[in-house]
Amino acid sequence: MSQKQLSEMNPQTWLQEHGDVLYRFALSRCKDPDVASDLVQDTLLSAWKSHASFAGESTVSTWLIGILKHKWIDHLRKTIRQREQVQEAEGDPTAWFDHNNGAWKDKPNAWGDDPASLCQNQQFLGTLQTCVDNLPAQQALVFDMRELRGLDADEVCKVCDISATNLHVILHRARLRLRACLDTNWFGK
Amino acid sequence: MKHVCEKVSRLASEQLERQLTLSERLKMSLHLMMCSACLHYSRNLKKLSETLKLKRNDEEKSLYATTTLPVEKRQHISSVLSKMENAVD
Repeated sequence: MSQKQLSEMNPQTWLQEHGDVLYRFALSRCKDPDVASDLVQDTLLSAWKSHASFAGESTVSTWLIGILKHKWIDHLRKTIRQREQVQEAEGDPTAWFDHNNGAWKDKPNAWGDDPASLCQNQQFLGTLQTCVDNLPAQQALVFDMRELRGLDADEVCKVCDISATNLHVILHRARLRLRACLDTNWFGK
Repeated sequence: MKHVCEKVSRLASEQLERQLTLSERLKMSLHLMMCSACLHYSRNLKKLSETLKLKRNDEEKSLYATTTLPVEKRQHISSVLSKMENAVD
Protein backbone atom coordinates (compact mmCIF):
# COMPACT_ATOMS: atom_id res chain seq x y z
CA MET A 1 0.00 0.00 0.00
CA SER A 2 1.40 3.39 -0.93
CA GLN A 3 2.02 6.17 1.57
CA LYS A 4 -0.91 8.07 0.14
CA GLN A 5 -3.27 5.13 0.51
CA LEU A 6 -2.10 4.56 4.08
CA SER A 7 -2.85 8.11 5.02
CA GLU A 8 -6.24 7.71 3.41
CA MET A 9 -7.04 4.85 5.79
CA ASN A 10 -7.95 7.17 8.60
CA PRO A 11 -11.52 7.99 9.57
CA GLN A 12 -10.64 11.56 10.56
CA THR A 13 -9.17 12.11 7.11
CA TRP A 14 -12.28 10.60 5.53
CA LEU A 15 -14.42 12.97 7.55
CA GLN A 16 -12.30 15.93 6.49
CA GLU A 17 -12.08 15.07 2.84
CA HIS A 18 -15.38 13.33 2.15
CA GLY A 19 -17.67 14.61 4.91
CA ASP A 20 -19.41 17.15 2.69
CA VAL A 21 -19.88 14.75 -0.22
CA LEU A 22 -21.32 12.08 2.06
CA TYR A 23 -23.56 14.56 3.81
CA ARG A 24 -24.95 15.93 0.53
CA PHE A 25 -25.58 12.46 -0.76
CA ALA A 26 -27.41 11.51 2.45
CA LEU A 27 -29.37 14.75 2.53
CA SER A 28 -30.42 14.45 -1.11
CA ARG A 29 -32.09 11.18 -0.18
CA CYS A 30 -33.49 11.62 3.29
CA LYS A 31 -34.11 15.41 3.39
CA ASP A 32 -33.54 15.46 7.16
CA PRO A 33 -30.26 17.09 8.33
CA ASP A 34 -30.10 15.12 11.59
CA VAL A 35 -30.73 11.79 9.92
CA ALA A 36 -28.23 12.72 7.21
CA SER A 37 -25.43 13.45 9.65
CA ASP A 38 -26.22 10.28 11.63
CA LEU A 39 -25.90 8.34 8.39
CA VAL A 40 -22.52 9.95 7.72
CA GLN A 41 -21.36 8.98 11.20
CA ASP A 42 -22.58 5.37 10.85
CA THR A 43 -20.91 5.17 7.47
CA LEU A 44 -17.53 6.28 8.81
CA LEU A 45 -17.80 3.95 11.79
CA SER A 46 -18.52 0.94 9.62
CA ALA A 47 -15.95 2.00 7.08
CA TRP A 48 -13.33 1.99 9.83
CA LYS A 49 -14.46 -1.41 11.11
CA SER A 50 -14.29 -2.92 7.66
CA HIS A 51 -11.43 -0.95 6.16
CA ALA A 52 -9.37 -4.11 5.74
CA SER A 53 -11.86 -5.10 3.08
CA PHE A 54 -11.20 -1.95 1.07
CA ALA A 55 -9.21 -3.40 -1.78
CA GLY A 56 -8.19 -0.10 -3.29
CA GLU A 57 -10.03 -1.03 -6.46
CA SER A 58 -12.26 1.99 -6.26
CA THR A 59 -11.54 5.42 -4.90
CA VAL A 60 -12.09 6.02 -1.21
CA SER A 61 -15.02 8.27 -1.96
CA THR A 62 -16.78 5.66 -4.13
CA TRP A 63 -16.17 3.08 -1.43
CA LEU A 64 -17.63 5.35 1.26
CA ILE A 65 -20.65 6.26 -0.85
CA GLY A 66 -21.27 2.52 -1.36
CA ILE A 67 -21.35 2.01 2.42
CA LEU A 68 -23.58 5.06 2.85
CA LYS A 69 -26.07 3.64 0.34
CA HIS A 70 -26.36 0.50 2.44
CA LYS A 71 -26.81 2.54 5.61
CA TRP A 72 -29.54 4.56 3.94
CA ILE A 73 -31.36 1.45 2.76
CA ASP A 74 -31.12 -0.04 6.27
CA HIS A 75 -32.48 3.18 7.71
CA LEU A 76 -35.43 3.15 5.31
CA ARG A 77 -36.16 -0.48 6.09
CA LYS A 78 -36.35 0.33 9.79
CA THR A 79 -38.65 3.28 9.18
CA ILE A 80 -40.94 1.11 7.10
CA ARG A 81 -41.05 -1.58 9.74
CA GLN A 82 -41.95 1.02 12.32
CA ARG A 83 -44.90 2.11 10.29
CA GLU A 84 -47.83 -0.16 10.12
CA GLN A 85 -47.11 -2.79 7.52
CA VAL A 86 -49.47 -2.18 4.69
CA GLN A 87 -50.25 -5.13 2.60
CA GLU A 88 -51.11 -5.65 -1.05
CA ALA A 89 -54.49 -5.54 -2.71
CA GLU A 90 -54.60 -1.78 -2.48
CA GLY A 91 -56.70 -0.54 -5.31
CA ASP A 92 -57.73 -2.95 -7.98
CA PRO A 93 -56.63 -1.47 -11.35
CA THR A 94 -59.58 -3.10 -13.08
CA ALA A 95 -61.75 -0.61 -11.23
CA TRP A 96 -60.45 2.04 -13.63
CA PHE A 97 -61.81 0.20 -16.65
CA ASP A 98 -65.28 -0.80 -17.71
CA HIS A 99 -65.90 -4.38 -16.78
CA ASN A 100 -67.74 -5.14 -20.02
CA ASN A 101 -65.78 -3.47 -22.80
CA GLY A 102 -62.49 -2.79 -21.03
CA ALA A 103 -62.57 0.94 -21.89
CA TRP A 104 -61.46 3.71 -19.51
CA LYS A 105 -64.31 4.68 -17.19
CA ASP A 106 -62.87 8.15 -16.78
CA LYS A 107 -60.87 8.98 -19.89
CA PRO A 108 -57.49 10.67 -19.40
CA ASN A 109 -57.19 14.16 -20.91
CA ALA A 110 -54.18 15.66 -22.58
CA TRP A 111 -52.03 17.67 -20.16
CA GLY A 112 -51.10 20.95 -21.75
CA ASP A 113 -48.24 22.24 -19.62
CA ASP A 114 -44.69 21.18 -20.28
CA PRO A 115 -42.35 19.61 -17.71
CA ALA A 116 -39.92 22.55 -17.70
CA SER A 117 -42.62 24.91 -16.42
CA LEU A 118 -44.40 22.35 -14.25
CA CYS A 119 -41.26 21.58 -12.27
CA GLN A 120 -40.96 25.28 -11.34
CA ASN A 121 -44.62 25.64 -10.44
CA GLN A 122 -44.87 25.41 -6.65
CA GLN A 123 -48.66 25.20 -6.73
CA PHE A 124 -48.56 22.26 -9.09
CA LEU A 125 -45.89 20.55 -6.99
CA GLY A 126 -48.04 21.10 -3.90
CA THR A 127 -51.06 19.55 -5.60
CA LEU A 128 -48.94 16.63 -6.74
CA GLN A 129 -47.63 16.11 -3.20
CA THR A 130 -51.20 16.04 -1.87
CA CYS A 131 -52.13 13.46 -4.52
CA VAL A 132 -49.11 11.34 -3.54
CA ASP A 133 -49.99 11.64 0.16
CA ASN A 134 -53.49 10.41 -0.62
CA LEU A 135 -52.28 7.22 -2.26
CA PRO A 136 -52.57 3.98 -0.32
CA ALA A 137 -49.52 3.80 1.97
CA GLN A 138 -47.42 1.34 0.05
CA GLN A 139 -48.01 3.06 -3.29
CA ALA A 140 -47.15 6.43 -1.74
CA LEU A 141 -43.94 5.09 -0.28
CA VAL A 142 -42.79 3.38 -3.46
CA PHE A 143 -43.69 6.31 -5.70
CA ASP A 144 -41.96 8.70 -3.33
CA MET A 145 -38.76 6.68 -3.33
CA ARG A 146 -38.73 6.04 -7.05
CA GLU A 147 -39.96 9.32 -8.53
CA LEU A 148 -39.64 12.01 -5.89
CA ARG A 149 -36.29 10.93 -4.44
CA GLY A 150 -35.06 9.17 -7.54
CA LEU A 151 -33.82 5.91 -6.05
CA ASP A 152 -32.86 3.18 -8.50
CA ALA A 153 -35.46 0.49 -9.05
CA ASP A 154 -33.29 -2.15 -7.38
CA GLU A 155 -32.73 0.07 -4.34
CA VAL A 156 -36.51 0.42 -3.93
CA CYS A 157 -36.93 -3.35 -4.30
CA LYS A 158 -34.30 -3.97 -1.60
CA VAL A 159 -35.82 -1.50 0.82
CA CYS A 160 -39.34 -2.80 0.43
CA ASP A 161 -38.26 -6.39 -0.02
CA ILE A 162 -40.30 -6.82 -3.19
CA SER A 163 -39.58 -8.21 -6.65
CA ALA A 164 -39.16 -6.06 -9.77
CA THR A 165 -42.54 -7.28 -11.04
CA ASN A 166 -44.11 -6.27 -7.77
CA LEU A 167 -42.53 -2.85 -8.03
CA HIS A 168 -43.97 -2.41 -11.53
CA VAL A 169 -47.45 -3.35 -10.37
CA ILE A 170 -47.33 -0.95 -7.42
CA LEU A 171 -46.06 1.92 -9.57
CA HIS A 172 -48.71 1.18 -12.21
CA ARG A 173 -51.45 1.40 -9.58
CA ALA A 174 -49.96 4.54 -8.11
CA ARG A 175 -49.80 6.23 -11.54
CA LEU A 176 -53.40 5.35 -12.37
CA ARG A 177 -54.48 7.12 -9.20
CA LEU A 178 -52.14 10.05 -9.62
CA ARG A 179 -53.32 10.69 -13.15
CA ALA A 180 -56.92 10.76 -11.98
CA CYS A 181 -56.08 12.96 -8.99
CA LEU A 182 -54.14 15.45 -11.15
CA ASP A 183 -56.86 15.50 -13.82
CA THR A 184 -59.39 16.40 -11.15
CA ASN A 185 -57.32 18.82 -9.11
CA TRP A 186 -54.95 20.43 -11.55
CA PHE A 187 -55.44 19.91 -15.24
CA GLY A 188 -59.19 20.44 -14.99
CA LYS A 189 -61.94 18.53 -16.61
CA MET B 1 -58.94 -7.88 -27.72
CA LYS B 2 -60.68 -7.23 -24.46
CA HIS B 3 -59.18 -5.15 -21.67
CA VAL B 4 -56.59 -3.79 -24.03
CA CYS B 5 -56.64 -0.30 -22.45
CA GLU B 6 -55.90 -1.84 -19.11
CA LYS B 7 -52.92 -3.74 -20.49
CA VAL B 8 -51.67 -0.76 -22.44
CA SER B 9 -51.93 1.48 -19.38
CA ARG B 10 -49.68 -0.95 -17.58
CA LEU B 11 -47.19 -0.88 -20.44
CA ALA B 12 -47.29 2.91 -20.35
CA SER B 13 -46.13 2.75 -16.76
CA GLU B 14 -43.61 -0.04 -17.33
CA GLN B 15 -41.88 1.70 -20.17
CA LEU B 16 -40.69 4.21 -17.59
CA GLU B 17 -39.13 1.35 -15.64
CA ARG B 18 -37.73 -1.01 -18.22
CA GLN B 19 -37.16 -1.45 -21.94
CA LEU B 20 -40.34 -2.93 -23.43
CA THR B 21 -40.02 -5.93 -25.72
CA LEU B 22 -40.54 -5.46 -29.45
CA SER B 23 -43.94 -7.12 -29.38
CA GLU B 24 -45.01 -4.97 -26.42
CA ARG B 25 -43.95 -1.84 -28.25
CA LEU B 26 -45.81 -2.87 -31.40
CA LYS B 27 -48.93 -3.73 -29.47
CA MET B 28 -48.78 -0.44 -27.67
CA SER B 29 -48.15 1.81 -30.66
CA LEU B 30 -50.88 0.12 -32.69
CA HIS B 31 -53.32 0.71 -29.89
CA LEU B 32 -52.23 4.31 -29.35
CA MET B 33 -53.07 5.10 -32.96
CA MET B 34 -56.68 4.20 -32.26
CA CYS B 35 -57.18 5.20 -28.65
CA SER B 36 -56.77 8.83 -27.62
CA ALA B 37 -57.41 8.08 -23.94
CA CYS B 38 -54.44 5.72 -23.78
CA LEU B 39 -52.35 8.11 -25.86
CA HIS B 40 -53.06 10.91 -23.39
CA TYR B 41 -52.40 8.63 -20.47
CA SER B 42 -49.09 7.49 -21.84
CA ARG B 43 -47.97 11.03 -22.63
CA ASN B 44 -49.13 12.31 -19.24
CA LEU B 45 -47.10 9.69 -17.42
CA LYS B 46 -44.01 10.63 -19.38
CA LYS B 47 -44.64 14.27 -18.64
CA LEU B 48 -45.05 13.62 -14.93
CA SER B 49 -41.91 11.54 -14.80
CA GLU B 50 -39.91 14.13 -16.71
CA THR B 51 -41.21 16.93 -14.48
CA LEU B 52 -40.05 15.09 -11.39
CA LYS B 53 -36.69 14.32 -12.94
CA LEU B 54 -36.15 18.02 -13.66
CA LYS B 55 -37.19 18.86 -10.14
CA ARG B 56 -34.72 16.36 -8.69
CA ASN B 57 -31.94 17.77 -10.84
CA ASP B 58 -32.73 21.30 -9.69
CA GLU B 59 -32.75 20.23 -6.06
CA GLU B 60 -29.51 18.35 -6.45
CA LYS B 61 -27.83 21.32 -8.10
CA SER B 62 -28.80 23.74 -5.35
CA LEU B 63 -27.86 21.16 -2.72
CA TYR B 64 -24.41 20.68 -4.21
CA ALA B 65 -23.86 24.38 -4.64
CA THR B 66 -24.64 25.32 -1.07
CA THR B 67 -24.68 22.45 1.39
CA THR B 68 -21.86 21.42 3.68
CA LEU B 69 -21.79 19.20 6.72
CA PRO B 70 -22.52 21.62 9.59
CA VAL B 71 -19.56 22.35 11.88
CA GLU B 72 -21.18 21.07 15.07
CA LYS B 73 -22.16 17.81 13.37
CA ARG B 74 -18.66 17.47 12.01
CA GLN B 75 -17.17 17.96 15.48
CA HIS B 76 -19.56 15.47 16.98
CA ILE B 77 -18.70 12.81 14.39
CA SER B 78 -15.01 13.53 14.81
CA SER B 79 -15.21 12.95 18.56
CA VAL B 80 -17.19 9.73 18.08
CA LEU B 81 -14.52 8.56 15.65
CA SER B 82 -11.65 9.33 18.02
CA LYS B 83 -13.36 7.40 20.81
CA MET B 84 -13.64 4.45 18.51
CA GLU B 85 -10.02 4.68 17.35
CA ASN B 86 -8.83 4.82 20.95
CA ALA B 87 -11.00 1.85 21.84
CA VAL B 88 -9.39 -0.12 19.03
CA ASP B 89 -5.87 0.80 20.14
